[in-house]
Amino acid sequence: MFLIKKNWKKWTTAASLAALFAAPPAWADDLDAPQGVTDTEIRIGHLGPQTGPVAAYDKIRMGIQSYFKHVNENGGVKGRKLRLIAYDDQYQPGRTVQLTKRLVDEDKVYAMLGNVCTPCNVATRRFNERSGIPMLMTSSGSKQFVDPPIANYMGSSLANYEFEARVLTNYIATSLKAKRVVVAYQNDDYGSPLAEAAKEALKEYQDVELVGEVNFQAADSDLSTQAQRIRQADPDAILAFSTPAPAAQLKKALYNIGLSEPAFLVSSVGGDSETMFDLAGKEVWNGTISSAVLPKPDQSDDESIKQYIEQFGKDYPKVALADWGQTGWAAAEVLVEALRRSETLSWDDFLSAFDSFDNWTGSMYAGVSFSEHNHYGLTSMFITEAKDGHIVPISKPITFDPVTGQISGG
Amino acid sequence: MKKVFDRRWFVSLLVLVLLAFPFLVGQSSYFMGLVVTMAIYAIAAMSLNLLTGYGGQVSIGQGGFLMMGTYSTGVLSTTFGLPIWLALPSAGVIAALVSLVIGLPAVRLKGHFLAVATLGFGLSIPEIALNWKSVTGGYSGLPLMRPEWASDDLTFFYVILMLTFLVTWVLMNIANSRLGRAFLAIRDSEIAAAATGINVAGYKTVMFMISAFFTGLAGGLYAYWIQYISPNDFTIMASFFLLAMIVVGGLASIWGAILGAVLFTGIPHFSDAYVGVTNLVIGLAVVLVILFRPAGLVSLGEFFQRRKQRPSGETPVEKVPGQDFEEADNA
Amino acid sequence: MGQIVVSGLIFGCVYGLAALGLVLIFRTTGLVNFAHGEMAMVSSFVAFSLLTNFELPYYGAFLAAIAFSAFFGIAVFWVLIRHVSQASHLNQLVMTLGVFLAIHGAAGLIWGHTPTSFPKAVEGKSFSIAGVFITPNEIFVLVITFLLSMILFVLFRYTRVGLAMRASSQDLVAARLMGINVNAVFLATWAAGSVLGGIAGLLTAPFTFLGVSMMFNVLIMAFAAAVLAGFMSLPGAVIGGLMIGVFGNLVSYYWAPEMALVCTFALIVAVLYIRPQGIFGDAPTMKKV
Repeated sequence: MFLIKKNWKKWTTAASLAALFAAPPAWADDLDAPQGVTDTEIRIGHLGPQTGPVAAYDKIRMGIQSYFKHVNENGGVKGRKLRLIAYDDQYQPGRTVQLTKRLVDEDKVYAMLGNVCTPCNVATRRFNERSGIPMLMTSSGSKQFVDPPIANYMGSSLANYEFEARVLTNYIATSLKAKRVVVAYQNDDYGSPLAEAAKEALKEYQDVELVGEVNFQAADSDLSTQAQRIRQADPDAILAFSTPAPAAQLKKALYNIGLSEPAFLVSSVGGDSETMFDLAGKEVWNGTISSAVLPKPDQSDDESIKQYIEQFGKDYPKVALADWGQTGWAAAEVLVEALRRSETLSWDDFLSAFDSFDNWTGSMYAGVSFSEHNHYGLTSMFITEAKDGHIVPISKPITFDPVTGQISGG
Repeated sequence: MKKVFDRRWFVSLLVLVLLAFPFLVGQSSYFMGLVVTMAIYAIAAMSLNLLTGYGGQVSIGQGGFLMMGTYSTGVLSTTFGLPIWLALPSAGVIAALVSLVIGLPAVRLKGHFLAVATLGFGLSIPEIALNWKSVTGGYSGLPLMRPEWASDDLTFFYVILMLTFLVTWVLMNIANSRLGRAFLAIRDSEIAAAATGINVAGYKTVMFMISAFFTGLAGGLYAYWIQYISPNDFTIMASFFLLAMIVVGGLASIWGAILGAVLFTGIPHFSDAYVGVTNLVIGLAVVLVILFRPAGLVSLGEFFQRRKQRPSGETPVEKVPGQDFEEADNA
Repeated sequence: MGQIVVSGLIFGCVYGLAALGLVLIFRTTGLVNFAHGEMAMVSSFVAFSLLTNFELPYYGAFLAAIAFSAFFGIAVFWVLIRHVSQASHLNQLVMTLGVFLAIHGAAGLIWGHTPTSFPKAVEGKSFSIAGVFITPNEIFVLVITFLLSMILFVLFRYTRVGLAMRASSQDLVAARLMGINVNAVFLATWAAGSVLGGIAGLLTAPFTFLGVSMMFNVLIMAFAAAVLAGFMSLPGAVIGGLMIGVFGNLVSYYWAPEMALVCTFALIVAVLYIRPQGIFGDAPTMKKV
């Protein structure tokens, strides 16, 4: 029974550790922050999958980390360094709930930034609303976190799913003038809600018909039966809601059975990356239409993109630039700007600092706006097309008004 | 039975520490959650140990029963409004009934064939949960509310702790009963067991049902603790980990299962601070334990204990890999 | 219909190839290797870095990666598996599970988690035969799978090495007494099994994309294929793979893609209920009482 004794020892260490964490750190009085701010640092939390089949999202963490490094090297924020504390929730809501408690109660982070995974965010929402911890730029396009506005949830780092579905269906109906549409979607918390939103949006166009619907799993590599079903539906346009790998598989499977005629559209998560040319093949991917919220690193002379290329390329030389790293970087830019605009760092002050964002263009995003009624943050996107190994914008920014629900521009 | 006194002493100490635990950690919800996760995995691992360690039936699909427990509890309590004291055992019963479907062919299957049949079950349950939208809510999952009287984490921590003690006690008794001895006999030789009048098929089915019942119950407890159910928790990796827990902890030993559960849920607490190393650390731990303590971590405790109190007259049994089934049952 | 069956056959080959190595190692050493897929994944990454960093031609990289596979198999056997060869099957299984986790974790740290494309063995566009589209690479995979399973079948049955492997699998002590160097046989088996895995990985990577999780689903399906066939027959493993590939595709097409996995395992349970030793398995014999 030696082990039990050992166990007990372990618990006492755990307990003393916890006591250590629980001891109130020295706050800076003038900033009035409830937690997570010391004289030297501001602690920010992030949760997402770092391992497992969807670990590609971990690049959001890398982007945040990289921007924090950039800020810290240039003097920090309010005289303090930013410190990121990130844990691996493996895309499992049960773990996210546990780790949220760890970040908020034990590590005492000041705010959380860019948390990945819709169901994980759903699972933790009640806890976060109760604790009041600022939840910033959540990496989910699900409407439930931003509309109707929740006091401590500010913005999402992805385009809102409904908005994106409407933009893409509008493009199919008005620009492509397609009559027969197939919706192909990844059967999970990412693809399914987008597909539902798209089917709803398609109903607005009376002469456009939904002729088929296929689904697949994120880990599927054989999409030949889906391609066959699509061929039988004989569409003019295929609208896919998918992460990168299955999107490439689907396009390849369609190409292999000689189906390259219909227009192929993919949501930004699965289409807005130049790695798609590598995955699907350059010839196969050409012509694919997608949407984007961030300009490609090689197509912009935006100041923050230049900084991103330099810093992220140095920190993560092996990771592609035009990928999720950008999302993390841009989300961190919004956080830092809000910190700078906030007078004291009480949560109330900090959260109301967001309301002063009126089409703020200092970040990688085209424009960031918040108001009392608008917690979306990101309300503009543009359409892109895959041409000769590059993803190029083919539309002006399209903007969505959260209050009226109107879409304009394009 | 000479060691009973010492065991009682240590068990009482462990129970006391666990009871005082919330106050040792300043009622930290996270640390209570860590113990709760350990307790839930301990229940599942003990149940699997009954099936695999005692009964010799390898299952790589226990995660499926955990998930069945979460969804059964969720649906029964939200859709049908069952109170917790009915929803939890019902979740266990549902899991047990479903285990009949596996148990039925399993009665005829052995070794790797059984392993793959159960693997299929563990893989299928998340798929079914994801696609049976009308009942499970599909990808959006199911929210679940705790009853009013146990809505705060402290109270519910004690609920889970008490139930874990109860289940441990019940499983210990099963393991040491006629039933447990019949399981061991089946594991060692089905033919010999049948020759002594043991109804092998019947006992195997019972084994599967008992194990599924408690695993389902554990799933239900988890659902109530997290208060949200999704098809992403308890994937096939959970099934792998459960199997590894009992082998690393010690087969055919209640303490072994508990040790394994504590180790596997404890490692991430320390490794999470380093990006992406958890799997590597757990994998290395499994390899090292099997190389150096083939009878599981529990043998480490016995080893020290025997050295301290030799006079009982037992000669220490040298542990031979491959015979690890034999001595572990008196652990 | 034709198209569905043909693409089912191609993925069936992928499963069958992975299953070949599993069955080979199981037949001789009695161990189910959960790390098989992850070892294959590492070999594919080795080939990839030879292709990109050292700019080797495809077949050079292919052969080098296969040589690496053999070495890797031997290393895993010698450093780890050898020490548990007398342990219970469950301990062995969990040991390989640990190796699986460790390799998966290490690979994630080394190569990251973004899938990349991997070159095909044979380039070329798809063409149509009687209304069914197929690419030259897919034909290549079909042919290689068929050839490999035939070669192994002949080796196992008609050569001295094969005889030694069969003898070791039946009775270790007797094999030793007959002058067979059992350790050498086991080493050779691990090398061969790992090479088969490596080939499977290299042929799978163009279909699944190269990534640390690329072999997980393939491995699960390979298990299913091996078990369906009875875990003892080498050609049987390939046939099991083909059956699973085609069956899954038919379910996916005529019913729903999300039901393919569930139905595949329901089929296996049903088959095993009727024939607990698998389709090609021998009637169960009592090894130990």
